[in-house]
Amino acid sequence: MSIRLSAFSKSKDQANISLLGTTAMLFEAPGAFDLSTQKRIWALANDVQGWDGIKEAIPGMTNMMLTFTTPCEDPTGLKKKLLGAWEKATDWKIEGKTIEIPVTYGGELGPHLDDAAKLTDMSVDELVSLHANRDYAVFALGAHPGLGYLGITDKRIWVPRREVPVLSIPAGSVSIGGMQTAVSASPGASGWHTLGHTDVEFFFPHKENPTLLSAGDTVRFRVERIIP
Amino acid sequence: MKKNVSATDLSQDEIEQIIALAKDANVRGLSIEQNDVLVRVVLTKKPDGTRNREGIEKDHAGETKVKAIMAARFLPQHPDRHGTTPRVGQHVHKGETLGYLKSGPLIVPLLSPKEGTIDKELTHANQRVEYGTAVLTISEEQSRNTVQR
Amino acid sequence: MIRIAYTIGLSTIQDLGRDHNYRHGVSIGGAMDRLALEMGNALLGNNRSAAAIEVTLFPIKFEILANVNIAVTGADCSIELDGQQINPNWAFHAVKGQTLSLSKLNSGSFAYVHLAGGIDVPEVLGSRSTYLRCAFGGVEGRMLRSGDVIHTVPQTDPMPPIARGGFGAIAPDLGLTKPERAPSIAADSATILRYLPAAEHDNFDDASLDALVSAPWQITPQSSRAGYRLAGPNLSMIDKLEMRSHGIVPGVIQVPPGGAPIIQTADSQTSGGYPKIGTVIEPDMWRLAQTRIGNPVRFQKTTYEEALAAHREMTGFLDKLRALSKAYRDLLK
Repeated sequence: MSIRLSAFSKSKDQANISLLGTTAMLFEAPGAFDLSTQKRIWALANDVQGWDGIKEAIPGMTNMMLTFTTPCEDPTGLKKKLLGAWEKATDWKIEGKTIEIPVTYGGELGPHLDDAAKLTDMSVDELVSLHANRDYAVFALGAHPGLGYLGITDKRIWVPRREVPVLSIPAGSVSIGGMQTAVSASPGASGWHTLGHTDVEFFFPHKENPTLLSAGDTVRFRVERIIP
Repeated sequence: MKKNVSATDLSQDEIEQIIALAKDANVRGLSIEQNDVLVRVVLTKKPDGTRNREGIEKDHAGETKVKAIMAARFLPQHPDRHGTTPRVGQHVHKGETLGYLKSGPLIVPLLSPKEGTIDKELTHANQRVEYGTAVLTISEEQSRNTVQR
Repeated sequence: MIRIAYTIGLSTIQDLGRDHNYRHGVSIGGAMDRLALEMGNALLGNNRSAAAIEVTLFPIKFEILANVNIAVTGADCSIELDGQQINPNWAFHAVKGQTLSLSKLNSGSFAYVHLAGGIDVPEVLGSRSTYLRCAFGGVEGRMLRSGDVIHTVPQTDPMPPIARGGFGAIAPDLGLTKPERAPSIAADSATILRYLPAAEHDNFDDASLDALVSAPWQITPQSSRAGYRLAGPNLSMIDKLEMRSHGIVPGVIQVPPGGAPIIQTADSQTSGGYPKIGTVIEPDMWRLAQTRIGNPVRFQKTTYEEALAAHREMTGFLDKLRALSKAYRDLLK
């Protein structure tokens, strides 16, 4: 099965700003999907967080969502202001920690390992070694509590999201989607390919800082076992 | 003393402030006109400081007028619960809901001040009533007949 | 203080949800029908976001353990206090020993039981809302069950009992302007949801954009507090897009490659990467929440100005209800 790699890595010429109803605004950065663009996103979010009428500025993958305290009355004005702030946003240096995550690949808790191997035209072992032997940056947290979006995967294992999302995968599921990889911190729906499982916990609702991972951290997966 | 206050787009805080001020000043009736709704709040202190909240008036022996305790529209039935309130000729108990008063999004019940029989409806459905408008009458005479069945 | 005397599950404690936690991947959560939650709090003079019991499966019964003012809002169900019928969207006084029961749903999906002062459970990440997926908030992060005792937030200036048969609010369906039906939309019982186009709207092919507004969309049983999955014609894109994950909010209509749209709701993921055809405007989200599984919705494109106007109307409705309820409660004193 052929995958159009260009769909993932396509570099955008200019920023794209769109509305999510009257509740939020989405800023998608121009340029490649890389860590240096992401560092500018972190800087932008840090700046915008203090603006009037902004509830929260949330970094995504080379993009940022703004939620409003009340519906934005002048989206055009806000778009202009955002573009101005993006021009001024420079690399944000986060001194993150490094976390090693042991993973059992395949088996019942890695139900899409074979699918992913087929999609990428490689053996399960090859796929696992490409996934594990790499330092990933935590680009952002999102989807569900404590989940870190990790990038960027080796382009040989870039895969499209699943046609139909899976209704529930367990906490600790290690999955890939597009150019990204992640570990589910709680059970729930997922549109990604689940390769394996870890017992590490990522979310602690009663702690002041409720997540194990923070944007700017480094994650490395260690192969504990491969269940063919 | 009755005082009309007209304004547009009063905030909730402002309305609450006006109500609070009006109370201290012993105002009995207060109308606040908004763009699309007329808010009339009737405070229930008589000039001598006693309360007058039942909205009852006896006209002559045996007949009691049930009056609106606030400016509103009269709804004989709750908009979502038709057929649950009594009609003319029916026997009612003290405290029974005879209909509703609707002001903006608020609905309050119009309660029977006494046991008796609904004699006459003086107000038709959806008619605007003021504070003190007689909405219907309750007769004691007939109620005795009804009660002694 | 009340005790859950009987429930078959799915009811949870909810308030207006968690703000400022998207950065941790924690969704807004809170009441599915935020309007109903705010209405109940307005009737009782509670804080706007005070927590209430969100009821989704009927019947449910409560034993009153201490005298308390109560309001029931949201879905139109049969409400009885010791066998006496209570109107929908109504505030009233209940005394120790009485039984409040909610049964027979007439219309809608979510009913809210509010106690004066608001329900007191520990706040987690700034909210009392139950988030079942991660088992936190509410009562031990779980659905309510028979035997649970529910306390209220202690009040410094407690309200006297609501006398004279209580009082209430008109149903929001009557109090708010219904979305005006576009000529293209068939006149049926489907709930009309106004939407604003989202970033990938124009990447869908013409047939799909047409189907979005012309077809009735069935709410499927694969729907939950996280999202409503719809069944109807398949929506397809001119060019397949594989997107970078980004923030999403309740109301966003995602279209996975399978072509069946999903409307994000209260417990939705905080981010995702499926293409977004539009966003249901916030003032119509309570209409979606109160549309039952299996029933249809229809989409109608709107403008930003109309969305703002709908928002203002809803805010005005709640402001008036708050002010008038307070005035009436004062009158009862």
